[in-house]
Formats: sequence, C-alpha cells, structure tokens
Amino acid sequence: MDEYARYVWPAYAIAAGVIGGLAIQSVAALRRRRCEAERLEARRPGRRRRDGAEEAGDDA
Amino acid sequence: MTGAAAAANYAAKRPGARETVSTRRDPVTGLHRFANPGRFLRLADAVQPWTTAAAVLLIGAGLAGGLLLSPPDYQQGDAVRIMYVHVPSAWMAMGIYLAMALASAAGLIWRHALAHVAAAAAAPIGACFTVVCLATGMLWGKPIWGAWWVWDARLTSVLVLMFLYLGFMALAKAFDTTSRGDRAAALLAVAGAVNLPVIKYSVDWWNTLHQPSSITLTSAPSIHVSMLVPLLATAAGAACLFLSLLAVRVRAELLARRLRTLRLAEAHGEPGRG
Repeated sequence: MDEYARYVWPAYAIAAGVIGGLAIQSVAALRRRRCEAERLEARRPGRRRRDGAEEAGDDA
Repeated sequence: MTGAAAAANYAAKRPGARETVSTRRDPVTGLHRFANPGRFLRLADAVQPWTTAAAVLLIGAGLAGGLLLSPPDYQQGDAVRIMYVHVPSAWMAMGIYLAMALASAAGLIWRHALAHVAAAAAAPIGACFTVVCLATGMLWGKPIWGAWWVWDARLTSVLVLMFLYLGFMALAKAFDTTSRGDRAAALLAVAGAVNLPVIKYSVDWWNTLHQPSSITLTSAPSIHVSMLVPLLATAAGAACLFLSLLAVRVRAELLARRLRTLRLAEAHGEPGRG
C-alpha cells in the first residue's frame, strides 16, 4: 500500500476520530444530564416518590 | 428514580401531550405504540447491547476483510481501500437523513413529541457520517482524479446535505420554545428530503467525475465478491452503530428537555412537575 498509504490511513483515522468522538460525546452528555436531572429532582419540594413505577418508565 | 425514567415520565405525562394519539394501538401499523417514550426507552434498552455488539463485530470484520483480505483494484490499486469507510458513510448520511425526514413528518402530522426527539437525536449522527463521507471522498479523489474537490453534481449535492443537517440543528435551537424549534426544523427536514434523489441520481442525470453506483437494488453488483462482502459487513456495522448511538442520544435529548423544565420551575420557585 506504499503508494496510497498517505491517503488511505488518514481516511481511516478521520472516520475513527469523528465517529469515535461522537460516541464519546454522546455518552458523556447522557451521563452529565442524568446527574444534573437527579440533582434537580432531589431539590424539588414536595416530591412524590414512586420509585418502582418510575424506574420502569411507567407509560400509563 | 433515574434521570432517564424521569425524562420518560415527563414526556409521557406532561399536560397537553396528545396521549390518546401517542399511546393508542394503531389498527394498521401498530407503530404509534412506540411513540410513547417509556415504551420506546424499554425497547431501546433491550436492543442496544445487541446493536452495539453487532456494530463492533461487523465493523471489525469488515475492516479486517477490506484492509487485509480483499485484493487491490486493477485500476485504483490500494486506494480502493478507502471505499470501505467512504461508501458506508455515504449510505448512512443519506439513510439517516431519510429517517430524520420521516420522523419529522410524523412529528408534524401526528404531533408525536418523540418523533421530533428522534429527529433531533439523529441529526448530529447523520452530520458526522456526512463529514466522514466528504473527507474520505476528498482523500480518495486526490490520487484518482488528481483533485481534492470538484464542483460536480454528486459532491455538491452531498455538501448541500451537510448544510441541511447543520441548518436542522441550528433551527431546532433557534426558538424560545422547544415545540416551535421542533416544528421549524421538521419543515426544513421534510423540504430538504428533495435533495436525496438528487444525490442518488446525480451520477446518472449529469456528467460527473464521480463514478456511477457499483451496487444497486435492481441489478447485480459490479464489484467482486471479495470486495462486496467486507463492504456490506462494514455498512451493516455502521447501521448497527447508528441504532446504538440513536438510543443514547434520544435518552439524552429527553433528559435535556426535562432539565429545561426543571430549571424553569426552579427559577420560578415551582415544584416543576412539567
């Protein structure tokens, strides 16, 4: 691959960098928002606890 | 209660949501059932480990086959190995836009909030695949065509696709209320879908430097099976990766909307029950 290596490997590096970066950013954003939601939920006054139903993502 | 469950509950129960439409069983397709965030997230939880594992295996096998096992092209030599990232990226860029436009249309027609959430979650993934498609295409074009970029119909229409993704993301965040941003971005997504057949048939309608499709639904592929198998494996892996990322991003988008409500409620000193 000597002749074309300087085109082929950067193509794979860009693909890995962009898609890998997106995956990392997506998971990091989810964790950050999850933490912040739990923090704000805990601060809510008069919060009802229905842990069983809400963990299951009640869809009633 | 986890934040994700809170987001699901919020979206499912918030006042004004069209719950009768979102939760009823559709007699024809049954697809409306999945417009319920709680049900959708449970499905995503069940499917995501499998799609992630399939993505790793298929992309790994496809790239190993493409880089190590498949032969060089008789004209392009080893430069053809760029195909194994370029072509799946191009298919994903177009496929994700189609999915986004369909979700947007569903959001506009049936007013399913989850359809808008799914479209918003898919847009950055599609934009990233489009960036990969354009960048790898430039790296493939330089040794084969002698130019990094030419303004022919295929390349220009894919660049327009990139701008449509960017416009969708910008428009969705350009309004004070989420629902107005959703509707405006959805209109752009639906209108922009006209670019998809232009991309697909640009190599047939105009004289372009870009080669015609080697793989079509209506005829036998014009590439050898030793190249076709790794290419299809990589493309299937990219589709599985999209599903995994979509599940993560839908969850994050639901939480972002829940956080917006909680912050507003906190600012006004209210309980914040959506």
